Amino acid sequence: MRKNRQTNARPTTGRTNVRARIVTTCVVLAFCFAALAARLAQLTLFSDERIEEFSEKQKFGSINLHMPRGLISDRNMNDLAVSIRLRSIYANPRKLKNYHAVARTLAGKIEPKSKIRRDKLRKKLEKRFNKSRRKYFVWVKRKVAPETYISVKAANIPGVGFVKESRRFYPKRDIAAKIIGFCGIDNQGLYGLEYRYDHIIHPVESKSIVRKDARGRPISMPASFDIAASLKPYDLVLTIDERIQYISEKALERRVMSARAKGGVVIVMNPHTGEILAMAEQPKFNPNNYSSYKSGSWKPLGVSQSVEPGSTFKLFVAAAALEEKMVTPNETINCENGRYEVGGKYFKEAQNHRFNKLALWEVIAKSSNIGAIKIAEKLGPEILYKHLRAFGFGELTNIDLPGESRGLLRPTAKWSLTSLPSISFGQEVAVTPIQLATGISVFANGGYLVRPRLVKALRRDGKVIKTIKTEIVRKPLRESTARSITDMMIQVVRNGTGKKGAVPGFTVAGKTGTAQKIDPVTRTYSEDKFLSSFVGFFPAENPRLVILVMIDEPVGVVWGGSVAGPVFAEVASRSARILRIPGAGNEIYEIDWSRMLKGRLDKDKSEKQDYRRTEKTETGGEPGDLVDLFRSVIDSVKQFI
Amino acid sequence: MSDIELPEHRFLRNFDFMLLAITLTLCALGVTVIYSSNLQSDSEFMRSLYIRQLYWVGISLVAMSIVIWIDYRLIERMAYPLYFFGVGCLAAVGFSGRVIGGSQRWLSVGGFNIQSSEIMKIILIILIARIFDDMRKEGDLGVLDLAKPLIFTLIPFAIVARQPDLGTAMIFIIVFGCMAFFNGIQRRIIIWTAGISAFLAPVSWFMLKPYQQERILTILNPDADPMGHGYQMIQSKIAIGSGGLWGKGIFEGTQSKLNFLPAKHTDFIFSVFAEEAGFVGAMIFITIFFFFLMRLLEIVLHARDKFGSLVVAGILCMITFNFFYNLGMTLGLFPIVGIPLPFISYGGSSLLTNFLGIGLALNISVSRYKLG
Repeated sequence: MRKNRQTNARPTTGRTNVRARIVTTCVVLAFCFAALAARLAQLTLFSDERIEEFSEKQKFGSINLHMPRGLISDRNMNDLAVSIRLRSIYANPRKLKNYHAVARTLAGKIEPKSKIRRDKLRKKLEKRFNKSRRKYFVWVKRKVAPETYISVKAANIPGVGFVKESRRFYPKRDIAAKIIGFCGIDNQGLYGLEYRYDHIIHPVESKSIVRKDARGRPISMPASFDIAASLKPYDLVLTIDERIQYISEKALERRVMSARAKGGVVIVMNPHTGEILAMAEQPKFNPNNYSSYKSGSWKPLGVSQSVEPGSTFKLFVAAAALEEKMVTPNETINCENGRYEVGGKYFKEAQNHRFNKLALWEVIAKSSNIGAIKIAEKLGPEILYKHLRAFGFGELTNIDLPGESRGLLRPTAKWSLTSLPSISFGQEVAVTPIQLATGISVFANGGYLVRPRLVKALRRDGKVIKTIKTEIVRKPLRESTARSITDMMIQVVRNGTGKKGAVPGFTVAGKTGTAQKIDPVTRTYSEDKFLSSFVGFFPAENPRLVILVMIDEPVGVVWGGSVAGPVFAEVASRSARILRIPGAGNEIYEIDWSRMLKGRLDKDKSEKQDYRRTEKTETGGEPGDLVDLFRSVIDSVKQFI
Repeated sequence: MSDIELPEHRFLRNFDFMLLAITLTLCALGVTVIYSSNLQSDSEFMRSLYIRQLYWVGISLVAMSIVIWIDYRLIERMAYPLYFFGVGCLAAVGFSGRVIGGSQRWLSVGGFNIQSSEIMKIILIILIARIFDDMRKEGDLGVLDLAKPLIFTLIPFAIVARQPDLGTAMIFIIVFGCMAFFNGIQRRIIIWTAGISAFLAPVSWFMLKPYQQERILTILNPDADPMGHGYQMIQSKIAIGSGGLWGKGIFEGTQSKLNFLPAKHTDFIFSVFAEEAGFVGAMIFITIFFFFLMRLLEIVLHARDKFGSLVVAGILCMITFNFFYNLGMTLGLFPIVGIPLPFISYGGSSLLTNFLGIGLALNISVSRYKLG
């Protein structure tokens, strides 16, 4: 500007002056245009990383489509796990005027009753607000009860807001809790079937990436909604029958309490399809409040705990020998009068019985250890091992429950001289309850090893989308062999160790087991710690249910028949009533109307009263227990002498 | 009123059709971009803004036609009454004006809100031209010569600055300065003004309101507060930058449509346009505008008399300043001040003012041949 004026220093006419000024203006304008063009080019043609990053961040976001997890129900569509809508409280620390006051108000509303908890929450919130003063979002409390939401909302605190969230709720509380498992705060499956089928019942795309506008509202909804609809979670229909699960849990609970046992497992299984109708366990937990239990108590012992099975294992040894046609059911076995030496070790019968000659079926019925050893010796390690593997021992059953153990069945190369005899009556071998129940099913279903399973079908919108089919793993036995073993098992209940497992009106096939547990201190078999079990199925002519009962470390009476047998009988008889299983042949099962009526009346009373009632009838009403008790006392006295 | 009626064909031959064509092109572009910018708005009102803008184009064309046909010497004669009427309106706004966006600027006339400060720009240009013309002085103006027009400028400046609308108020001063420069002033005045401005700049900082200070700081460091003071500027830069070389295509812009960009149909309309038209489109637009300004400059040069020349110079200055400042602002070069993009931004008062200005320029351009 000034430069141009300087060139016209001498007085000139107005016209020339105007021209000079116009030239100045042109130069200024051109300069400005050049500057704008340069800036425009800089912005449009060269990318600024910071600006792009900022732009991407605000353009895309994930939105929660608020899709709840799929339902889990039992085989009769009774809900076992549902999702409920709850509100979560959050705060925008930037909008909080006085975070001390807000923390005090919130704590007062959320914890109105307990002063200690209120103060604790207040301090926690103050700390959290103070730490994130420059943030826009902090959680105050996730998934609060509806009444808390109402009271906090009524307080109308600026900077405090709510989001809808769904929370898993288990209406039946501890029923089947070990199977179903539970979810974390973000509805991710953490344990049990919730974990195993998370990819199916958790809506995978419940969070989808969408374009947002400036207010963070999602756009291009149609496309993502289609995805959401197709990825809507499935509902799980379990093979569990809630009623059988319930009676199993109750029967087990009562027995574990009365036997002062450490724990126990009951498995009810359909031998033909592998469907688990019940898997009850003690101790149990309430999944609605899982965090207040020790993490160890969440494990489903039915699949994760490997134990030495004891005498129940003799069935498989006998089955192998029959399958190999090395013995016949009536073949006489020399039981060496209760004392037999193998590999420098003396083996004895339980309860110091002395059997001389027993038929094969009697070996099973009377549960002779030496008889089992003799059979195993006929087979030899290789063939026995081959057959035991065929029954699925030492491998996963592949049940659809996480945390399964494969048990322990060492290859023959690692066997010592005493391994064969030990294994023949269920020592030096570890099995999981589910392996054992699946193995027993082979006898019940005519020789097939099926895969046990917990899910019957997947449903969506009330329609069955997929039915899970029975999987036959292999056929370890001929049908005739299975039949022979079944006959022996019938004798166990009729004339042998398993009389307590008898169910009126039915022919029951069963086998008892009383395994000494290994004492962790002495590393030898304990004299007072046992695992008492009863496995069996009924009706023997046309098996419908396989039932396994294991009681861990009962105190006092320890024999499998006495401790676990009655549980088997109770679960079996009540299941038969529920499933309307017809009795054997022409025998008519008498319905005990008075008992049923009583049971119905008791429904109104609390569980505790129910428990007391049965406790009384069982301890008082079954003198067999006392006989067993006497016998065991006499035995121990004998040993002492 | 000794009007000499010229034959119709004479007028048509001398009429600057090019200027009118460019003006109308810019208007059409403006309406299109306004339509595009609110295409996905939630509110029916926002979506129909382009129709309101079309109404304003119509009103402005009528007003422009009237201005073209009046002898501009009549306007020169009416300068003082117009000025006092304008100042009266400005003062009236202070009492009865509608408050929009936190400041009082609008006067409601028959359903349309008119920003009287916009019209005041034209009136002030006419008055300053009249005062300079009245001096009949050969050579450059001295300090005393400038006192009178400066006082007349400072009155509307003070009123508008109080509204507060610093952007428009600034234009009064700049228009005055430019017109004085075109008229010719003593060199020492320019030097003194530059010196005093340089001295006053730091002092005036403390006279600015906090939000105005923030806006200036934002230019220096827009990342300091991206969600606060820097938001508008960053969003504008993102929108322009996302256009790339060829743009996203007309009506296809996303940054602006998704409400990331505030004031997208008014002050930041260039961002919307640049996003959709890209570097190439924006350069074409700037070039067209450059031709437009050159056309006005040509009228300044060839005006019949001093008054005409100064009026067009004032109008040129007003439009140029608006244009550059607005683009500089959307491109993140200048602090954000409410200055619209001439002919493009939504807003009736600004459109009307610019059309009146173009009307005056066309009038002066035709008239130069009247008496030979």
